[in-house]
Amino acid sequence: MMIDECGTERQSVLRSSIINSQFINHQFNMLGILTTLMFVAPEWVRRWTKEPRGNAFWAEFVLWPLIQILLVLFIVLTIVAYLVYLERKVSAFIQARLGPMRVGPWGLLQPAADGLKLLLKEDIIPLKADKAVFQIAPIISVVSALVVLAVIPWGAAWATIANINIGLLFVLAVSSVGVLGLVLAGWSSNSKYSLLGALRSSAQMVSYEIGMGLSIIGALMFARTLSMSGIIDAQQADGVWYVFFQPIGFLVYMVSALGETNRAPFDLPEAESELVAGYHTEYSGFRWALFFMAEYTGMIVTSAIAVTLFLGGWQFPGLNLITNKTVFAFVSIGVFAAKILVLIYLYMWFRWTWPRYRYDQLMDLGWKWMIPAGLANIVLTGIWYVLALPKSQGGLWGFMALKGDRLVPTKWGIAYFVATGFAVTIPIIWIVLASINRRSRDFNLHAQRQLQIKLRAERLQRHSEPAGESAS
Amino acid sequence: MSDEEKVTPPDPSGDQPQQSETSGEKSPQSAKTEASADKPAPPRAAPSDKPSPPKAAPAKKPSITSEIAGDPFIDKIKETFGLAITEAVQTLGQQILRVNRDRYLELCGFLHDNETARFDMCTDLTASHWPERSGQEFEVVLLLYSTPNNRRIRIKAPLADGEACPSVSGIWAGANWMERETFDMFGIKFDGHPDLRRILLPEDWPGHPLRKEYPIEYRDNEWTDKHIEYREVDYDTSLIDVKYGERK
Amino acid sequence: MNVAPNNQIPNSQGLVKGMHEQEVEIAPGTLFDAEEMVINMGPQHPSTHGVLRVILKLDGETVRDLDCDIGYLHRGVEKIAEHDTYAMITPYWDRLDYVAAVSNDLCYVGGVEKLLGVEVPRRAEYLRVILTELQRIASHLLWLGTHAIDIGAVTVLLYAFREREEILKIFEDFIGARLTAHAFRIGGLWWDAYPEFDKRVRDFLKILPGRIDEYETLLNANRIWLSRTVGIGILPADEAINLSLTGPVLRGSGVNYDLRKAQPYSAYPEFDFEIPLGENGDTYDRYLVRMAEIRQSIRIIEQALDGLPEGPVMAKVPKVIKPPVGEVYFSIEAPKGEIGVYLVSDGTTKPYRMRIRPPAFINLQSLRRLSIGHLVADVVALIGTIDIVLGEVDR
Repeated sequence: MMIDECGTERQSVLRSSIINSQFINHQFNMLGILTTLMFVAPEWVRRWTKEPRGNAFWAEFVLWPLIQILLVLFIVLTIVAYLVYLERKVSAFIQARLGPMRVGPWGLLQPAADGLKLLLKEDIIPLKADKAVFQIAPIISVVSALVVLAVIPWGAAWATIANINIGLLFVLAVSSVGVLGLVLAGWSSNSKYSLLGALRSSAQMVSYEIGMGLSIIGALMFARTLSMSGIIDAQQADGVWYVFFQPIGFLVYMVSALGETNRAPFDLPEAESELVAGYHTEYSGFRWALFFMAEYTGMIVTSAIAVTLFLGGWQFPGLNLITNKTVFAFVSIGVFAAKILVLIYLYMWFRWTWPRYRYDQLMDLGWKWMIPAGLANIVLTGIWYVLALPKSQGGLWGFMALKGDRLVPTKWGIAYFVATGFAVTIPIIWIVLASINRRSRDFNLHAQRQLQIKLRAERLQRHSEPAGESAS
Repeated sequence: MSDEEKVTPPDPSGDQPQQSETSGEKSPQSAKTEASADKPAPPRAAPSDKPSPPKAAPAKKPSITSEIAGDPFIDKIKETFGLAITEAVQTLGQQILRVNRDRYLELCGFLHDNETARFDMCTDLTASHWPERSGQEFEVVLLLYSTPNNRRIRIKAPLADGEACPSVSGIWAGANWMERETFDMFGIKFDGHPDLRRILLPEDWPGHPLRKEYPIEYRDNEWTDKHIEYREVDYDTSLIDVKYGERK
Repeated sequence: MNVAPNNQIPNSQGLVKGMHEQEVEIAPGTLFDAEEMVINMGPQHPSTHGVLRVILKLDGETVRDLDCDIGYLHRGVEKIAEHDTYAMITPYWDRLDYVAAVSNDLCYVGGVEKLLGVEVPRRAEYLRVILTELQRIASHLLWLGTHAIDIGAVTVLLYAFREREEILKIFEDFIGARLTAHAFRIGGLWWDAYPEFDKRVRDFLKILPGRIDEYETLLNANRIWLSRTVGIGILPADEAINLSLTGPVLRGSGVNYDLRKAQPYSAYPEFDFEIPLGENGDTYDRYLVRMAEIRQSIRIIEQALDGLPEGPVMAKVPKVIKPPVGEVYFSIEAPKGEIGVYLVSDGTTKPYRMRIRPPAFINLQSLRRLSIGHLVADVVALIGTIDIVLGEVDR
């Protein structure tokens, strides 16, 4: 693989060459890896550094990535600030009130005011806290959330900082470092509420990460690549979003993502009515804001993965009608952002509607429902997939055909996969898990069943109507 | 009369003549002599089944307190406990039994377990302080309710200052905190209470507020001296010489 | 943040003050050596509903023991009452259960009236019933909101406050105050109802049932709400009676004890309403009972408005109130339970002794019985389900 002529056309050529070489290119090529890590710089950057074509080290590997990083950080952090605003507005509209209205028109400058306030607030470190760890913890949290942004395919063409072939794995690996930040924060605060919050969050995030990892495997069977852009292209090639093939996978993913990002109804680590504020009880000022940034960035990242994996990424029916390449790129970014926003609105809707799970119920849901459902989904998807292989490869009906170097479902194949996904997989998994979990479903009642029986007998023999009672 | 007041007044001094006028059944003086003959330890106990001639004492208005008559359940209690029930009156239709401290716990157990009137709920437990009654300065007031019969009864147990009262928290678990509060407010100790600590005031608070000798304005005391730090504030007096209402 | 004692350096005896000293000993050493953790919830904590301090002994997140430390709001109302005239005491009652001030007033005023032998005019009794039942709705709505927010459903709080606001506006126009109302005087009411009172209350009653349906849509069949409340803090009927519980907490356990029916006062015998009872005595049943009580209150108010008699609202009461020598216990069914007053009069203008029978204080002592064996998150739900107001717990 070589660095090609620059420009958007060549990038798409490069992208397809990367995608096509996923399973072919076994050569260990340093330059090749670097090329896939950082996308190709546009011509104006190279002109600016006055480097020759094909050997533009500064332009390709330093300047352009920096510009991309700054741009993405700026945009994402602004979006994060406005997500807080959005959350407040959405909650206000759900709760029959107005939300922020004072700073700027409709309170639109509220995020700026909040940011300024948090920057200027006194930074309090508790006397008995482990100071170094206390200071590092929020940084770990926010960095692990932000690093993931590098591999998100924001749109077609140049809108990805790094298109690496292990993109999804990278996302899962790095985002799981985030839990370290929370645990360290809770530990170093030297406060019991923080510690309880940290313990809860570590247990919760580790458990839900498993469910999350299992839920995406079904979709990966169809995509046959871990590259984020590759997954989107695979959905384009198959002609269908994987949410229709993988309804269970999508459900498990969304629930696990709620747990992974500590959002309601799984916001136990910071359950304000129980643990005051959980792991960030002792934090104030900008360190506290960093945790908030990490949480909202986490929401963006998990939604972006869901969009990439299940909702077709930046693709949308009719998008190909746009012929202008620049317009196409911007519209694709818009589509991607719109899909993310829809999911984030879902997150907010859940939060302002539902009560909070209890710790044991959360674990119950994670381990007894999400993980088994994810496992069963893998098995069933594998079975449906093998049955649908082309007849030459031992399939029954030949619902898939070889197109280029990848297997693509035929029209009947799409119908088959949708049918198996919805009509077969959901009932099977539901029945199996319900029968397994039936005995332990109502933990509370189960634990106190003895008491209830006693109570009923007691009331029968005990109570007669008071004398003053008038029948009414 | 002064002798009477010392004996078993259900209410403070002024009530005594009126009550004996309306109830017209018992003479505390005769009761006292009999009681002291029976039992030397508590100098009271009026056997209410003994009728005595009414006292002629002038009353301005009719008393609201009268002797209970014709209640089989009260009669049964009187029969069972005999001299320990020193008084059984009703005021505004509310029945009050006054019982010796010695048989207070026994009476409570009886009321709780009795089949005909099961007093299964302890609605309230409190006390009142009567400093002028020597030997019976305190009075533990227990308010019982019977859910099957929808009936209330009030039990009073007079105590001397410093005397402990048996705890009924073993009979009614709900009396636990009420006894703690009574201890907190009056300093009455409850024998057999599982966890007799102050409940509303700090552990080392001086005095018991609802005793009559406790002053009403008692903000700065030993406790506040010990626990609340007053810090002298240095301030620049030149800044505060502005007199209100004046303009500089 | 309230964490006591310090994680790494337990105090010298290794004891937490306020706990049962013989039971709760923290092993010397660090927090992580000890088998159990003592955690201090309150007095500044989002869900202890005021300045309640709950000291929890935890094994993991399971509650092993619990002690309530109360008294932060103790003002000595009973002592103050011994130095004030009968009429001057009423405003102190507003400040006991400050979210149900009207009900408290009714209790005290009723007690003094019973002692005086005053007959209150029927119109005043009807207006008292209307105001008290509106107050019950307001108190239950506030309870619903805070209880739901403790369990994590934030939105219900805002909805509940929206309706409570309407009630407070009605109070403001009638009485002049929203919260600590001082609604009643000994002998009746100070003011008669204002001209639009009837219409305002009826308008409010028209929208309220739909709104309650809305809350129930949010909560009644919600899987998470069910799993957080069903089977939590089960209290059998006999234990509830033995613990002296009253109010919805007792009725949630299925005991038919409501003073409005059992020992009717004011104008309650003239109205047709039902007493909702729970079946299992758990947090969910107590929630259902309170929601049903709101509906019954609506029924009572509608009947009272329909039959509101004409006439004076104030009985003839002497200017200087001097009750006869004697004593009285008078109690009413407040939103929290049976609030009672035990008044001892020595014939002067000031009560010799006034005892408040505080429902929240007495109900709160069941928290230990309810919580042991449950998780920290349940303690929060249980504090909510008991429905305490610290102004009344501490007095």
